[in-house]
Amino acid sequence: MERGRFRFLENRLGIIASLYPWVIDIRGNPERIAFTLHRITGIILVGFVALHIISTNTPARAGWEAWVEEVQRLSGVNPVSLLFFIAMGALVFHSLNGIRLLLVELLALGIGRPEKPKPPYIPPSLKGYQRTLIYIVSILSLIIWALMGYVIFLM
Amino acid sequence: MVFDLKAATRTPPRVVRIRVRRYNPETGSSWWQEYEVETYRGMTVLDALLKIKAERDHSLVFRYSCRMGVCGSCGLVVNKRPRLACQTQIAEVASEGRPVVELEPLYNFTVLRDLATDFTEFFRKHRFVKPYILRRDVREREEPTLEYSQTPDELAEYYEYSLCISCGLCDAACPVYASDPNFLGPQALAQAYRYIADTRDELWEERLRLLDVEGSIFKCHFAATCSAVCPKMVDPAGAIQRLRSTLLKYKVRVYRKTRVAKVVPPMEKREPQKPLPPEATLVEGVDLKLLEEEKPVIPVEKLLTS
Amino acid sequence: MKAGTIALIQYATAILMVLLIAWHVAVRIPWLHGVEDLPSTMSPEIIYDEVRRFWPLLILLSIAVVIHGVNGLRGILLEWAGSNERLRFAINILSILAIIALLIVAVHTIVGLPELG
Ligand code: SF4
Ligand code: FES
Repeated sequence: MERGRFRFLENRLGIIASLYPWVIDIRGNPERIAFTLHRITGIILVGFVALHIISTNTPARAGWEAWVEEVQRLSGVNPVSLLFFIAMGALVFHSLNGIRLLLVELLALGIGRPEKPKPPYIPPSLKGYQRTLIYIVSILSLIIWALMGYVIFLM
Repeated sequence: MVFDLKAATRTPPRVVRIRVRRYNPETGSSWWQEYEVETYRGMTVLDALLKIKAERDHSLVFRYSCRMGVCGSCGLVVNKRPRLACQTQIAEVASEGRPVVELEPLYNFTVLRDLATDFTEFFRKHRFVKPYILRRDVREREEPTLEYSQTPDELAEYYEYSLCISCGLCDAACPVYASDPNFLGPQALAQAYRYIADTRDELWEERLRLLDVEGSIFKCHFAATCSAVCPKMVDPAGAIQRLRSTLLKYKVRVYRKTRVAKVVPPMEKREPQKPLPPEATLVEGVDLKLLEEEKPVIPVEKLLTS
Repeated sequence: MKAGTIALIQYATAILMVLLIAWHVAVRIPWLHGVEDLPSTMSPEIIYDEVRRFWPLLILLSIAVVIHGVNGLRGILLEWAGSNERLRFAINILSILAIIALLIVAVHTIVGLPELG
């Protein structure tokens, strides 16, 4: 911004703030990490969904033989199945965290009741059960992801 | 904010290095400058800055007013976390192992010089949500003849949010505000909810409709860093979730404000005065009847001249 | 459209998707079909049968997914675009086009499904 002979500094952190949580000190704030992961997995999933819709179009476009070929690319460890595995991880986290966000954002649940400030001064929304849900969501998605990895790679 | 409640009782490292991110608007240059400051127990970051300004470098610019966490002028970024300079103990942010305190101007604000930031935009956004009580009867609001009734429970609904001191720390911490200059920011939205939750506010529908635009509540994705850094435990993140939920419920017609405060005569006029117990003795020469009828006049002139 | 309406759509599709995707993923569990690995759950016979029986669900799923995904990405991009009006307009238009394009492909997948040879 300029005013007369002065040039003032726009001090915005920019895009990086929503992709890398540690640009600021986030102790006591795992919600920030969940937010970043939700966003990154969301971006991955949009790409995956586009590819998925196009690739499942194969039978209609090129017949069943091409479809069988397409599907065979998923067996064993190769770039396609690895990407598929990553997309599945993103899907699991995004869905489970999405359920948590539905509770918090749509229904305003899990963020406690407004209360008068008292020591140790932790705001109710950081004490509510949405905080517990973050841990449940992360552990559950790791477990489900591992199971999916078993199905994709090891069977 | 998670406070270190014991910080003020600890002794900070004897000497700390204060690194300040400075900015000169005339040349447009920005640099880190380091000062060594001798500390004492109970020294705050603001004390250290004042000491630097008094003894070392009078060109250092920062803003403060109350020195006790009430005015919200002294927000800055200490070791990558937005904090109030006057409320942050040196002992809390520096340790023997790392006696360095890094100070930066608030993120996401325009830097005027050194640590001073421009709040014009911030207050424009605050004003946008109409942070005052709206009544149909404007005349009554401006020149009140009666009182609004409100129960303690109704007060508790929004009391927390009314503690905001407009320090801007929440906006500095918000990841959405960091990239989107159109976003209203946690402070303004929390204040919007504070007035919607207030039973004295009558035109809440108008305010809800005002917020139903791009760049308002729906840009929030609950990173909750605003609540984590707020020095007054205002919990803007919680307020925004409640506000969004309220707005969406209002849109699908399942929300109505349950109670709007009515104007009532003041308390003392409503209840007849209790008679004094018989054992009470009056100071001699005091006529109770007379006191009730006309207000006691304090003879200011007489006090001044004597 | 009002921002609140878009948000409502976003949340509604989210609820829908949680259920539909759980189903969509679950039918790929190999044991359900008594086969050994993931690719064989997608043999032409199984897929053909699935599409024939559940095509309304699949269409619903693709509509929800595409709208939720593209709209979500649009929100992120709008946030990053700042106050550049041209860019904002372009993002909005491109999102609508992307939704339409992907939905056409999805519908074609189901309508144009060849008979099992
Ligand atoms: S909500 Fe908290 S952090 Fe934000 S301006 Fe108000 S007091 Fe400061
Ligand atoms: S100087 Fe007033 S809040 Fe710090």
